[in-house]
Amino acid sequence: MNQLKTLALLCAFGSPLASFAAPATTPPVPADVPGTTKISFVARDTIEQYKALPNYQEPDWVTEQFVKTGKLPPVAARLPKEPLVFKTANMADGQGVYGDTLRHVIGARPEGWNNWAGQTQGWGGIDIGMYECLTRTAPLFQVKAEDQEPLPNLARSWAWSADGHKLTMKLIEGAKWSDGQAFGADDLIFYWDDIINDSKITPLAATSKGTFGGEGTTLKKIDDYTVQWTFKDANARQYLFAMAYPNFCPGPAHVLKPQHPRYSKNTYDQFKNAFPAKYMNFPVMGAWVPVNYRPDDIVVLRRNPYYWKVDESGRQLPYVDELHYKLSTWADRDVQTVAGSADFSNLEQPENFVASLRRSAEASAPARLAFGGRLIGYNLRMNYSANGWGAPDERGQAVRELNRNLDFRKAVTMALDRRVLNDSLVKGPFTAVYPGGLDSGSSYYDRSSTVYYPTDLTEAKALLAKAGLKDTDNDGFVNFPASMAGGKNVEIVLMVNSEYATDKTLAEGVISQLQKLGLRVILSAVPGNQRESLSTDGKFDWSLLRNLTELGAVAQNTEQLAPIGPKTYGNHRAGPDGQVDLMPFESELVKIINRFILTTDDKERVDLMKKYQKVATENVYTTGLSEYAGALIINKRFKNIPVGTPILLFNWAEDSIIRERVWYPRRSRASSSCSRRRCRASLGSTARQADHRLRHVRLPCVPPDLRAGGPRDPQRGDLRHHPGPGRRLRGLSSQSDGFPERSQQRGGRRGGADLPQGARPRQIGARALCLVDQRHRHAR
Amino acid sequence: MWISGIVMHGDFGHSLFYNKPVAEVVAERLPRTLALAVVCHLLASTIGIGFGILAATRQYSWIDSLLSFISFLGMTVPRFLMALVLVYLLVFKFDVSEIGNFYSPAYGGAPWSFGKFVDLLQHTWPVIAIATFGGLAYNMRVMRGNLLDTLNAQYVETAKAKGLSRSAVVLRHAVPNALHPLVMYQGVVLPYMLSGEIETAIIFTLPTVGPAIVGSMAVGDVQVTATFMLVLAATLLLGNILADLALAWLDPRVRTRLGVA
Repeated sequence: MNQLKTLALLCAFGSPLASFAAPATTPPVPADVPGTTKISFVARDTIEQYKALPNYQEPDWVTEQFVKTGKLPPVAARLPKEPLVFKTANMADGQGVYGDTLRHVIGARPEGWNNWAGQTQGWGGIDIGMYECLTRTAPLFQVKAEDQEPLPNLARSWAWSADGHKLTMKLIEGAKWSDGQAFGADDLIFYWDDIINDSKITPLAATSKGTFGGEGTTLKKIDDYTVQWTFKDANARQYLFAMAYPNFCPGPAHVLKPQHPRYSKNTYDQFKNAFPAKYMNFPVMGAWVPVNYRPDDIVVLRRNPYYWKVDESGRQLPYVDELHYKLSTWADRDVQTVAGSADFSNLEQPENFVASLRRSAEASAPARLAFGGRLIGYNLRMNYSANGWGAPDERGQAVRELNRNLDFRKAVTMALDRRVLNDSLVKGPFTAVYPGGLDSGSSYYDRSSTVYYPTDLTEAKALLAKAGLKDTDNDGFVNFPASMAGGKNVEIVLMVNSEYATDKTLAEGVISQLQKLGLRVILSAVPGNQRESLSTDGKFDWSLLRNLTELGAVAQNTEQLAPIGPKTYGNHRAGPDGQVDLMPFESELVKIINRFILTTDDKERVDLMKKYQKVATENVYTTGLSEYAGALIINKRFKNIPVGTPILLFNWAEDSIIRERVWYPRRSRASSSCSRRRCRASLGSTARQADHRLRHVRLPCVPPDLRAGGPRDPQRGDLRHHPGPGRRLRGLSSQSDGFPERSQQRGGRRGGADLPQGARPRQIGARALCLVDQRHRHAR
Repeated sequence: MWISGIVMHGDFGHSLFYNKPVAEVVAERLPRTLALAVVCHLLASTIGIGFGILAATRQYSWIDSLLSFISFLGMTVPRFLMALVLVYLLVFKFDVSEIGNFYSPAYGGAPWSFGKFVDLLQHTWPVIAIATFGGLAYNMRVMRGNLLDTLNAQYVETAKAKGLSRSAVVLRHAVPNALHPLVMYQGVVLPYMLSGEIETAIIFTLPTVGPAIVGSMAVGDVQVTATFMLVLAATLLLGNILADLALAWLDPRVRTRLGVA
């Protein structure tokens, strides 16, 4: 232990001397990416506003089949007092018409709907479409730089107090969850008190109190639609960015609270698993509600009848009735979108660039391709905690000490030939040499502040020797000093996400290049969820990670740029003593980021980022591997896709394109209320893509266990929905699916055909409308 | 503990990846896989045996050479390569848009109908074609070899001498005797049918047993892997029993030897 400390001290003193020896330069200027589309910037207030409109509209079939039959209240009663109105001037193709299906493909699988307890819904924008957040930052990519404050969403307005410590937020008034229950401050307070501030629960985004300032931050309810934040720091504008996706998207308290261990006899595990993937119609504030789930096949979502956003003519959004999430692989998403069996893809895997470009260039291609700036980057992140985070063994601890040594980090970065790494992904102008730090496509990027240590294997070996590593047993790999880890070979475990080919390709490149340097790097490819939990627990030496929003948008997730809190930074967290053992330059980075978070002067923010970039890249804080541009592939038939949308800046493109405004101009506009046969004839070919082609008039309903009198057992399904004795199973299942036209065909039974016997609806909105696929509610 | 769970409670464990009981995962995939595998196997067997009969009765002719060539291709070209080439051709050359998975979303949850059956065929024909092409080779070669031996036997000459038509000689006398090794082979092939189409199923994203085994191994979902291994072992035993019974039915000599009438 003493020897470790001595070595650490030597390293700390040794680093200023080392920087004279290694030649630093700026990274080479990359070529232009062909086909990049330009964004036309707008002012922030031209996108949306909140106001009451004289009249509202909805799809005709909703009026005919649900409102007129008494299953739903009229649209004006379902909307809040002043809904969110999307301004037509900001819509690329103007106001839209109803109908059609937006088809996504994802590679992950939904674990369940309890995002707040840490379950994934499968990524790919499915949770973005379901769970709305307090503020919204994704559309800021089109907003002028000086106007960049988050857009209001569930929080319609906010005001800072005179001293800057209190932030009073007004929520949208009169909005309802998709099951008809009122949305209000109680949902926020439940999320704050019982999710964020419950140490035994970790939401999927790993949001903690530290995300909002740590100790000293409080949130309290003023009235049903007003809450008040108190922050330790004054005018902390950055926290408004933190209240966007994924950190503050509250869940339905009326559904979650009864399952929470504090208010029930559930254990935390039971709470987490209380809403498995087959539990349908989970109440959401988003535009679509999950109504169908077939394992390894598809998740189908239908429009939320209580969605609180409209266009300027009063049409309740979304325009698109149905959302599909086909469960396949991430690589298949690109293939299917290019082929035309899916509609949307973030082309982020460079292996597919060339083939996709070639196909999309043909006139007959169903999808179009648009490249953005170089905002996808990969970094090697070293675990810097030497004080016990992750409880490393002797070898692990020795590796951490090495990670903290600047000579070692410089040796590693100089041993990497980034041109070769880039070419292993895709040849051509797409990639750039990336030494680390901010993405070159970011508006805060400054090439002259970026320090790049060029590839030089000889110099790298010399630096390794300087760090005290020599090959004592002549097997080609350097060894630890005799006092550390038994003088064995330096073995480092590199943790990588196994679900992406790009991650694995880069990892293999790193391993083979560092072998020439004399380091033995061992690959540990783990699937996404496991990688997340290992990372959170600190159980890794090195982690190969794709950059998230902080290195591109900077204003989003800024706290991820340096360890400003004990548990906020991804690869450097507090040990058991609760303290982070910061290296000297890290303290400087923390100071810079803290200042950036608090300042409101835009010029100062630009200067601060230049300083951050210099200190971070000079000290090889993250070892950059590769950087490239991504492309948005979207089916040509959709309208209102903003020009130049990047696939990832403040958030993923699924959020940035504002899907609830996207529409498809169907061939015939005369498809108003009609019988099934007429509707089928008049709708275009895309109607065939809707799930259950024959059942295109469906809406989400209230989950059975939330209706009055329903038993609570989502695992086994609601037994009271089984047909009673004497009824044919097939006959009843179509009726209990709630298809009004079918029940009318069978003799005009309306409304209550789908309620269990004896159940009384709480209010008119709670009557079941739906589409629950009974087969999947039965236990297997 | 896992075994006692199976024996005493019928509980195969819990899948960490799917977040549900392993029994459910297996029950979802097994019927589909068996259905697909049986179809592939029947096609491969009948076509393979048919080719074998053709090749043997026209030995050394151009038909024989052609069929042998086709069967060698099927045996040697890797199935994942065939699958990838097929995907590329379908998507990029023939503009086929519905690819991957068993059904398109429009039919997935819908009740059975002719349209749904057509949709199923549209999605699975590449997998069936590749499996059949790969599987017919063995059947063809074995059938051809055995039939050539049988056609040289004395009882075949007797049959010809009796004046039976050529097809009756071949089909009623020679082929049943040449089938024995293939019948035994059926028993061994059953577990292969379950897991054999792993590569093709992965490329065409068909959620069957094969990808589940590979996926669970990659993820470390131990109980799923172990359960599927158990299933494979059980099917191997079952397959062999069925093959023995089939052989006894086919070959009277086996019945007599066993003491059955």
